[in-house]
Amino acid sequence: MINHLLVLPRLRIQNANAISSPMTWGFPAMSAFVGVQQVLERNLPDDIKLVFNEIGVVCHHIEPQVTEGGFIKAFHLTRNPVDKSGGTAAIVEEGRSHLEVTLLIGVESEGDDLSSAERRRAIAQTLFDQVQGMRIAGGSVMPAFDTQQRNRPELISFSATESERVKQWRRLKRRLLPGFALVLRDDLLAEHTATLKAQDESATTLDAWLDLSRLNHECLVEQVEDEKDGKEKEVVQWNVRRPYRGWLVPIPVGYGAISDQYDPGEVANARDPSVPFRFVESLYSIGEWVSPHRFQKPDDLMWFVENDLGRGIYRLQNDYANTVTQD
Amino acid sequence: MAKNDTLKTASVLAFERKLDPSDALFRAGNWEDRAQVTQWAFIPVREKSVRGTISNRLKAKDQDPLKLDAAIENPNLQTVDVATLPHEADTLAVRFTLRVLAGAGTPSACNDAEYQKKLAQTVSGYVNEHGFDELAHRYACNLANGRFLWRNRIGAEEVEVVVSQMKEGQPEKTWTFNALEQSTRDFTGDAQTRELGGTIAQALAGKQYLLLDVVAFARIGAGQEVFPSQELILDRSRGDKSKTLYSIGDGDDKKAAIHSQKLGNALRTIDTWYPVPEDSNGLGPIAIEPYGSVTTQGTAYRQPNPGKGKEKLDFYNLLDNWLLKDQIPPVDQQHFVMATLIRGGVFGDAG
Repeated sequence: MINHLLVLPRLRIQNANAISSPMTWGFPAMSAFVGVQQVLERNLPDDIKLVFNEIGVVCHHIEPQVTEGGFIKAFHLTRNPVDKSGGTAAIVEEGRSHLEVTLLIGVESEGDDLSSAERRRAIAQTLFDQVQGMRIAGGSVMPAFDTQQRNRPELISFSATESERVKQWRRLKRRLLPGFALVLRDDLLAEHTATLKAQDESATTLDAWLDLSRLNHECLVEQVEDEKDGKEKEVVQWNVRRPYRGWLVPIPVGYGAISDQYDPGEVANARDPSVPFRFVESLYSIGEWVSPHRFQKPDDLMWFVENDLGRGIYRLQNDYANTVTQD
Repeated sequence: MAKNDTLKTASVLAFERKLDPSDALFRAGNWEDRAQVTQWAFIPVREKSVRGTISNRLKAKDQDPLKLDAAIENPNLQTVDVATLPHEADTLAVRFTLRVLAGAGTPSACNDAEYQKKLAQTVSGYVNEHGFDELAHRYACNLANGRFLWRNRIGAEEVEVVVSQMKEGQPEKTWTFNALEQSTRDFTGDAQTRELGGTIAQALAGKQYLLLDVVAFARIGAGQEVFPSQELILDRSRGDKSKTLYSIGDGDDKKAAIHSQKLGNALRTIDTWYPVPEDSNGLGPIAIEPYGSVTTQGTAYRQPNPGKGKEKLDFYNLLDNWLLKDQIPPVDQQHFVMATLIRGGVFGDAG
């Protein structure tokens, strides 16, 4: 149940990182946006007393900087200034993309009065201005082209009555169109793994993940009776096999530990010597791009942190799959 | 980790850029209609195919006339991107926004508290003594003289730059410069550039970020070619386009543009404090780079090992002497060090 939602609409991000993990490219990893939420929360002015719980992202436009045409794409790279000997500096492959996103942040009051509309407007504007001077997913936030009413930041307080809540959410959903929101589909990955296991004992989750990440063209041979002479003949058909509906993509969802946890300062040259240290690798799952008009409630597109420290898993969660499977 | 008393450079040390330009989009229109620039049409990037001739320098074994004739009979076909003004418009408008972020000299990542404290002291010492006025004025001059137009500035009849300070989407204050009257070789400037520089200096030192909207008009002539950035694409397969220009938008709606990095490089071309080689007669300013590197000349003017009797004026030596050995560099080099911090980069010492 989200009671207050901060809407930061139509942020244009330039040269955001398009390499979301060692295995995936395209839209930045969700952890980048959770990072934005944390930075905003840490840099809150003293007079704003809020807690940030979860974040949702709706992408309106993405323009990856890659070559066009052909099956294999290559990133557009940058030529950096020459090194001290005058030779060309090493070219390091970086993927970049331009984005236009709307951020939705679920907030809770911690002593701040969110009942007055005036106060809510002031908070939303302050945080919006703060985001304008930030970097998101490694890209710069650029000022919006137009400052129409619908592109103003807003802090929405959902009403206590169900019917009013639904109305408010509906109004907000319209503002989020056209666009797509990323949600998590762990359930499909598990289901597909089971399907593949039934066909082949040795199938793993990785097989299922790769199978869902691509288009599979499969050949069907049918025995058809010829109309003229009644003979059996074989007809070959090529189809695309799509086990699930929806726009599924492979995404990184967090990190899994590959070492013990070391005390602060124990590992030399760490980025921050005041926090514990651990080596990790990326965790992957399947995500789905869903148009906002399909969401019954704002909670469905929200992502939040859910760590399992016992198993050394630091990951992000999203509840969309539960909602869908319950209906 | 053993604590010792000598200060060391942090192994993780990074600075965000504080001058953050957006990509610049190209539009075309007429010189008289400059006031309606928002209605001007974007310039598209299109492809063209040309039948080139063999004109490269030949190796000795290929210089036999018969062989050369045979080579010239083979057409040298190329597909390239091109962007031009339409035939009814004589002026190119280049428009971008520039964010000036607060907190120059504050690292975005630093894993050594002692070092960070010393750095903060050093920076605040510099700010108290000089402020950001000198640097900001030079940035303002580079906005005024239209250096960021690069090749589009060359041969233009008239160039006008309009800089507006934006507040909530509306221009609050506007400066208009005749770019061809402004020098690209020195930074004397005039009352207007000083005023703009003052605004930038306040933003660099202040708390609020500043947003400038910059529009440059270059009267090049109807139908003339304009020059967006070129994309760097490795492993190009044979038969592909041999020149890809930067454009925003996809499909048939490709608007020619200049990369933000290229604008940033032009804006920080303010380094006149580098050691000039004896046999050269004034190169003018170069871009702020740790080793003073100039790509077009393939040289670095601030060598870390310049040889006997010469000063080491590269960024790392200056910074280490200033912070670790308390040897305060001359004022000019202090400006250079601060400008490099404003440029941003990863300067950690991994040892």
